[in-house]
This record gives sequence, structure tokens and C-alpha cells, in this order.
Amino acid sequence: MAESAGMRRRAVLDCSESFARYQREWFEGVRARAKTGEPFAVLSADAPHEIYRAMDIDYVVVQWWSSLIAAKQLGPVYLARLADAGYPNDHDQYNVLPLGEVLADEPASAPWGGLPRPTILQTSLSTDGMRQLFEVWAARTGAVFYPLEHSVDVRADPGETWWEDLPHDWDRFLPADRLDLLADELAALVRALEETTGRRFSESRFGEVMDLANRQAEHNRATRDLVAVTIPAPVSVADTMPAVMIPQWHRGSQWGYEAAGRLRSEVEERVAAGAGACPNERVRLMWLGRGLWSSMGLYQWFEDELGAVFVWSMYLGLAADGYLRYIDGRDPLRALAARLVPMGDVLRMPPWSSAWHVKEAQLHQIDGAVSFGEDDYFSAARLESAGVPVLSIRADNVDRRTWTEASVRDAVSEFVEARVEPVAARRRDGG
Amino acid sequence: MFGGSRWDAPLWDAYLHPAEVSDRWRAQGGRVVGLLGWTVPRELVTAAGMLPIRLSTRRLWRSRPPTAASYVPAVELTPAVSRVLSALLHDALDWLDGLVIGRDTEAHTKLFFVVRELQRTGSLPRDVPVAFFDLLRLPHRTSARYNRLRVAELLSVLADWAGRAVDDDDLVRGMDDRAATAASLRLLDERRTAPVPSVRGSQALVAAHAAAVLPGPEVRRWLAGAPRPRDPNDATCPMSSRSSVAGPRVFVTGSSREEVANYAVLERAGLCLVGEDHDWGDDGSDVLSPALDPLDRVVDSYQLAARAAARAGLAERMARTSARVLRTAPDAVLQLVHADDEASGWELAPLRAVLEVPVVSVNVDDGPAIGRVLEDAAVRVIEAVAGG
Repeated sequence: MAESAGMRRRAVLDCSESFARYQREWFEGVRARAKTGEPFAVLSADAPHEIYRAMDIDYVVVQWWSSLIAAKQLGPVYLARLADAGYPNDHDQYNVLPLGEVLADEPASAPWGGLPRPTILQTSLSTDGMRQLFEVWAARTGAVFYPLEHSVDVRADPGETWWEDLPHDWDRFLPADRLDLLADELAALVRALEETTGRRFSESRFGEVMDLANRQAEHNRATRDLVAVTIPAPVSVADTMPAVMIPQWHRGSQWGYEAAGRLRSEVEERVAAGAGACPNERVRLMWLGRGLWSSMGLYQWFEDELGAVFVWSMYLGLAADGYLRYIDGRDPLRALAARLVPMGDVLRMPPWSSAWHVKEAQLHQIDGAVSFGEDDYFSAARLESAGVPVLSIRADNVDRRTWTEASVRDAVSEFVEARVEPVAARRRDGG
Repeated sequence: MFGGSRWDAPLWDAYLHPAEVSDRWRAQGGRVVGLLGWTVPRELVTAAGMLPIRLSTRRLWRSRPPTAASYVPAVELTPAVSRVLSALLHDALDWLDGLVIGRDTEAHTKLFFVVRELQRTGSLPRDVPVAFFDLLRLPHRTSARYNRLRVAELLSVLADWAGRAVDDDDLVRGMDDRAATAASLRLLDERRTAPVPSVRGSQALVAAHAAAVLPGPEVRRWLAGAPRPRDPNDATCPMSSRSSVAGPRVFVTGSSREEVANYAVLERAGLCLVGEDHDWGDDGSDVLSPALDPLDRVVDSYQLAARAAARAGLAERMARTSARVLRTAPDAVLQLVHADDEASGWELAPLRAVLEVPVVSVNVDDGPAIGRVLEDAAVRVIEAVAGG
């Protein structure tokens, strides 16, 4: 993902550059097909991408497109257009930016020529205003909106070790009524898509997509494990964020699977060669929250100035732990439901989120964590209890009204010096 | 301030002192369940023989909460939800035998996660039984089936808290009680929305609060004392008391408006509040639809309601609001939006598109300046009406 302003990152991995080129070419194809009247969907990250993949329906993921808008420094313009039209722009910024682009109606200045007019919109209703946002978006574009419910885990004790239990035991670990609900919704979606697009849903093809998605996740798990145990870290989040997420948005495709394999191979080569993202690595950090897509080079500033490497972000972490759902003779549609049901929970529902963050911090030998725009009191508390200091920054990643490079640099630098360095020194000394 | 001899005095008492209502009920051997939100079916609690009290988050403490009653993760929670957590942490909810959190907003979901984690780790001073009611809102069969499971589960929890079984006859009685109170509220609403109202908006809001606190028969007894519409020269509307022409009739929409004092400010500033569609208002129009199975009636009633903007569909909300605006015949609509309200803001543009009266939107919070903000809002409404 290239930044047109902000702090540009320098690419460490060859593959991330080639992924970016692929994405650009792929998107040109999507635009071309949409122009000819092919169905085109805009989906949230927690929508059932695999169904669209199996039905050969082009889709773009809201969060990816918003990150591109942010990277092109167009966030403020599109947020202003929302306000001009009388819509709110101070919540759900990650989701509202593409609607702002629709309202701006300036394709010449939009990223990559602009998002094609969608024929389908889909999201899971995980926030108070999500339904209204997508209804407005659909009304403005003429798209059909397929909302999905987001149920809540109401159990008194939902357990903790989801990353161990979900890959194989998803139908025992997750409540059956939540799985039933989403599986039923997905079955209805398949029928609706068949009728509205004329495309056919092939159970065989869907099984292949699910299998490829699992194999892609296996690559990501191997990559994550390698990054975690290697000092100095072979790559930082400045590379892994785009190198993981571009293939993630192609989840279940042959290209996505092979791209994850390329990332894994390149990391393995760097480990074998003893190449670190920051040869002078002193401090290992984790980044809790969404990425700073408009200023990815900021992560590397800390490497250059402080020897502080952001080793972990949720992007590779989730790609490693969040998606594996082995089918083993069970219904693949229900397995997909099991992939989607806990998607937001693993990040934001204690104790799942807090237990996972601590597990990942310990696996990656983390010295300190920066929580950016996250509601993660329990994660912060458990990390602190585990000896990992946490800095919380109240901001929104794609809303540049809420942060600047200087404000983040100053806060993190002071935090590293005051609280993280002593922890890192003990680790380096083997304490 | 609110008078002791007026028909609404007992309603004010219930609104201001819910813990005392609980004490009276418990003194007779009953149990009390706190409901956080409008999406928790109170008739289920009634059916289980317990008293449901919907929690007003500013009236959780028996006395004024200590200034130290705060909690570290408050920054993650909305102010209203933080007050509930703070009360739980300081054991101020000793007047409840159980608490059901409804999924009105995702802030409530977050509160449930926080409370559950604190309970799981033994970090709450008292183990108040807490349940969460995950009501889905899409008008689909899949959501309806899921909701039936959740309602049955909640009923089972309530039966456990009550220490008794709950059968269909109990459910029907609970629903009949709700329906009777709704009928009383509808009658009150007729008096509020009459050409020259005999009931003020603030009184109607207090009545809605009281209906969510008091036992049904008791609140209906007090509501029966509401005055009939009077002669235009004797009307209670602030401006109509000075003129034979009623002052600006205003319909209130937007964020949940728990504080009756907010209405009082608007009325003193010259507005006649004839209706609202935020979740604390209740004009009795949300009636249970007929169904063979009592639980079906409950689920349909809540799943398809659109009493607040959060998690609702725009089309449903616009239909509901438009119908109410039409019925109450306001001169203007006032939308009051809290900073932490992620949903109401989406309704402004569609409201302006479908309504034929001015819609004034104002951002408010519950800080010390709220009185001034509301006074300014009233001035804007009056100017908008005057400007035609």
C-alpha cells in the first residue's frame, strides 16, 4: 500500500511490493468488469467473502478501501462531504469513508480512479449506526444491502483459549445457537445472490475456497511463529501489515494462498540470513489496534531513532490464529459461520481478547504495547500484570483530526524511554 | 419543586426514588429485577412474580453518589453505562435481586462484557446476578428464531431468580398487565396531544418513567388522575397560558433523554413538548401483536419495535417517527443528539426529507452547560417556527 503523503515506509520485503502491484492490476480488472455491468460487492471485513469468491462475484473490502483513502490523505475531504450532506462523521470512520467518496463524486481525485458503484453491500451489524450507514449508502448508490446479524456470546464463562480450540473444535467451542443463526443467514444469502446475480453457487467450488483459506492461514501461522521467536525480528509491522492484508482480502483464492506462501518463504530466507528489520533492535513492541495506513513509515521511525521495532500487530496475529476452521466432514457453510461468528469477539471481548493479547505478547517476547484507539481495558490490565507496559492513545487511525505524526512520535518515544527500556534491558540480559 | 398534592406527585416519587419503590415491594416479600434498557421484556419479569424496574442511570444510588464513585475503564464506556458500572462496583444496587442488561446499544453489550469479566475474576463486591438479553433487530425469520431462544433462556433465568416456575398463564398475565398500562399511557397521551393539552411533556415523561418502575396496578391508579383537556384559556402549555394560541408544539427525537429536568428547561423556554420517539418516552402505542404462543407475542413486540435509533433500520424509524409526528401535529421537531450516540445522526437528513415541519438538530451532552444548550435549542426552534 503506497502512501502519497504522511511518512512513507521503505519496503523490506520484495513480496509486499509485488502484492501492491498485483492489487492495483486486480482492481483495474474489477473496475473494468463493473463497468460492463458485472455484479460488484462492497463487503465489510466480517462478511462471508468466501461465498462471493466461490460465486465469482467481485468484491472490495470496506476496510481496505478506507485504508487506501486514508493513505491517499483523502479522509478529511470525505469526512467533510458527509457533514455537508447532514450525515455524522465522528463515529465508524473506518466504514463511512467510502460513503464520503460517493458523496464527493469526484472520481478524478479518488484513489485509483474511484470505487465502482456497488450492486451489493454487506456488513455485519456490529455497531449502533452500521445499519443506517449502509442503508444510506445503498440508497445513494442503488445497491442492494444484505445485513447480517452480529450475535453476542452471553455465556457466563466463554473460555479463553479460542486460538487452540477454534481450528478443529469450532462446533463445540462456539454456542450452537450463534452458529445456527449465521449458518441460516448464509444459506439465505446464497439463494439471494443466486437470484440477484444469476451466478451459481457450487458446493464443490466452495469447499475448495474454504480449503485454500485454511491453507493460507497455515502459511500465516508459520510466518507468525517465525517472526515471534526470531531476534532481531526479520520484519516489522510496516511490512507485515500490507503483506498479510492484501492476500487476506483475496482469501480463498489460489493467488491469496500462494501470496501467503511467498511471504512465509521470504521471512524464512531473512531468518536464515540473519537479516533483521532493525539490525539494532533493542525494544520489541506490539501495536494494538488498527494500522496507521496514512503514515506507515512512522513505525520505522521508531526503529531508526530508538531501535524499537513493532513486531506484532493484529493483522498477522489474526491471520495466524483467527481464520483456521478445519471442515473434517462437517458442513463447510457452518465452518464459514464459525469463522465469522467470533471475528469481532476475539479482538474486543474479554477474556478472549485479553488472554490472546497476553499469549501473543509472550510468544513474541514483547517489551511494551501501544494501544491505539482501542477499548481494551482488560487487555491493558492483563498485559501490565504480565510485565508488559501499555501506552493507550485515544485516536482513530483513519481520522487525522485525532492524531498527528508528532503526537504519536512524542507519546511513544516518552513511553519507550520511561517504561519499556527497563523491561527490554532485563530481557536482553536474560532476566 | 414538583409539588406534593398534584396528580403526578406519586409518579415523580417513583421516578426520583426507585430504590424506595423496591424497598416497599421487597418489604412484602417480593423480589426486584433491574432492567437496563427498553429492549428487556418487562412482562417476563412480571410473569415471574417479580417487580421489574427499568434503571434510570442517574438514580441508581439511594443518596447522592460519592464523587469517588468512578471506575478506571469509564473512558471506554458511555457516561450512562459508566454510572451503572460504578454503582455495581460500589455495591449501590443492593436494592436489586438481579439485573438484566438489554442490547439497546453496543455500549450495553460492552458493559455486559466488563461486568461478566469482573464477576469471573471475583472483582465485584457483591455477586449481583446479571443476565444479558441479546435481542436481534432485523425483521427476518433467522433473527426471530434466535430471539425466541434468547427469550426462553431469559425466562428460565428469571424463573430461577424468582424460585418458581413460570407457565403460559403467568406470561399472559404479564402481558395483560403491560397492555393495561399501555392503555393508560395512551389516554394520557391523548390529553398531552390535545389541541390545548392538559398534560405537559415533562409530566408525560415522568409518567413513562413511573410506568417502568411501579407495579402496573399502582401506576395505572395514579395515571387515572391526570386532568382532562381544559378550556383553551386554562391550558398548561407555557405559551398558551399567555395566549389563546398554543405555543410552539414540538416533537422531540434523537438520543435517549432520561432526565425529565431537560424537558422542564425546554418548557420553561417556551416549548410545548407534545411527543417524542426516544426510548424513555412511552405513549402506549407499542402494543403486543396477537399470537398463539405468548412468547411469540413478546418476541415480535420487541424485535420489530423501533423505539430508539440505535441498531434500528432507517425505514422503520422514519415510518414510526413520521406517524407520530403526524398524530401529534407539532410545529417543529427537535433532535437532541449525544456525542456518544452513533445512530441518531443518521436520521437527520431523512427526517428533513420526509417531514413538512422544521427539524432543528442540536448536539448536547450531560455536562453542566446542558441547561444553556437546551435554552439555546428552544430559541432556535421558536425562530425556525416563526420563520415558517
